[in-house]
Amino acid sequence: MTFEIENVSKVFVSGEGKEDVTALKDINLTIETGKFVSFVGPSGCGKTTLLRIIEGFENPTEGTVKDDGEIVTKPSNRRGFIFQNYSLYPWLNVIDNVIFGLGINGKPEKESKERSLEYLESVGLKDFANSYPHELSGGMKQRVAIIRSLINDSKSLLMDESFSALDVQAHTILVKQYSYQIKLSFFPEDLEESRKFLKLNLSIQEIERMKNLKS
Amino acid sequence: MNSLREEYSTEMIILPIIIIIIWYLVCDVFHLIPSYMFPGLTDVANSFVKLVVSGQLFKDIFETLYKVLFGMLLASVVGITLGIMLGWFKLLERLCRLVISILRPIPPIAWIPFSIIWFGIGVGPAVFIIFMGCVFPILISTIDGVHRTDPVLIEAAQSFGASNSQMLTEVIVPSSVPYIVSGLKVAIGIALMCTISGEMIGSSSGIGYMILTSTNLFDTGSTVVGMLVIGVIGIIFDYIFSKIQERIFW
Repeated sequence: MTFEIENVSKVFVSGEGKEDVTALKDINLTIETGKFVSFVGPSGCGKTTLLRIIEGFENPTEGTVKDDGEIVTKPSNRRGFIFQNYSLYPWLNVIDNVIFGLGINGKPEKESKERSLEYLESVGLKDFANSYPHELSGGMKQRVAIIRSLINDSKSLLMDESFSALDVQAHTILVKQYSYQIKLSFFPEDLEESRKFLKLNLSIQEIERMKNLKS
Repeated sequence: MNSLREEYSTEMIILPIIIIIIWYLVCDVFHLIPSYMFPGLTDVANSFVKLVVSGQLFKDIFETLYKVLFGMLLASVVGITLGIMLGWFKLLERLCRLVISILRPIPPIAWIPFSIIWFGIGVGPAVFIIFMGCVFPILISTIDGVHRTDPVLIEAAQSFGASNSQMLTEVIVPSSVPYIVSGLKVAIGIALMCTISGEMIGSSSGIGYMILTSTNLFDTGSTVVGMLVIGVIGIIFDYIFSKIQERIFW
């Protein structure tokens, strides 16, 4: 059992004269290792809030989130998080962005760079290793952001509409190349986005199968 | 953003040339203004040659630059370090806010009496006044830079497991660099003003001292040379900082 979400509620306290906003109410969910879960719902229904609580960016007003039995109180590198708006470090070039997390965790730079070049090559960005984020298109930035999280081998990956800026081709490459790594993911994406995944036959069974193939 | 090439174009020398021609006609050709009120172009040129030949001008420029850079260095070290701390640790900022708010509006030259009592006559008072003038713009812009760090960049580092010190060195400081450099650019202008004021009162060397003594001797030519030298030093610093800002693209 990996994630246990128990009675999670989140209320955002508004300013004077305004009503408080209840973003989440009594959410109960258990997600086991290897599961691939997508949250689908209209804008403003609390998908991102739930995802942020699971990562530990925010604490629930009530209830708890447990990651392998441990109550989540703050972000951790056990849980990779891919943001909707790239969140690349503008002062670092592509390769330094990709190895950022590895550097934080004390991995040797040379090894990390070699590994990140392989990842960059797999998404067609090897030639852009020394470019800066402002020189890349939206879709390219998103690919960098995605592999920056994948390279850390986190236990789980939380994706907040992370594929929204990708074209179908890049989407396919990423999903085919790396889905074996995704042991547990949340895609709080719109319905259209989920349909794309269905088209790509990315079922839980397929991920399991790819995982077995690689390991 | 305008490039430096656009900022420093050939058109910009037209107005100075016109001013110099008018100045030459008014003061040197028609003698409409007596030289003790304002020197003619030839007086200034003569004083410039005299000061260059004697080496006095370079000595004074060196003295002034030494104070400016020394004061700026101290103000930068204190302003940037304190700014990052205050920007990051909210409680520390709340503790210091009132003291900073009270000290900040005090004009640096108001510290001149104390600077002379504490440091005597010489380099000390000028450096102290420059420090007092520069530290606040650097401090405030650094705090601003820390506050304006994109929260998503902080959260991304948190999700990679960054410690507090890694957060400061890997995210907060680089993200604040554009604001810090803007603060330094403002501060260097203030530093020049403070240096000249400081040299006019509590000093025995430098461009400010030269301006004061030459005026007392009715050598207005040298006074104008001193003033123009300050202007040129200002342009050079401005150019250097614009070059640095061009390299910071985030």
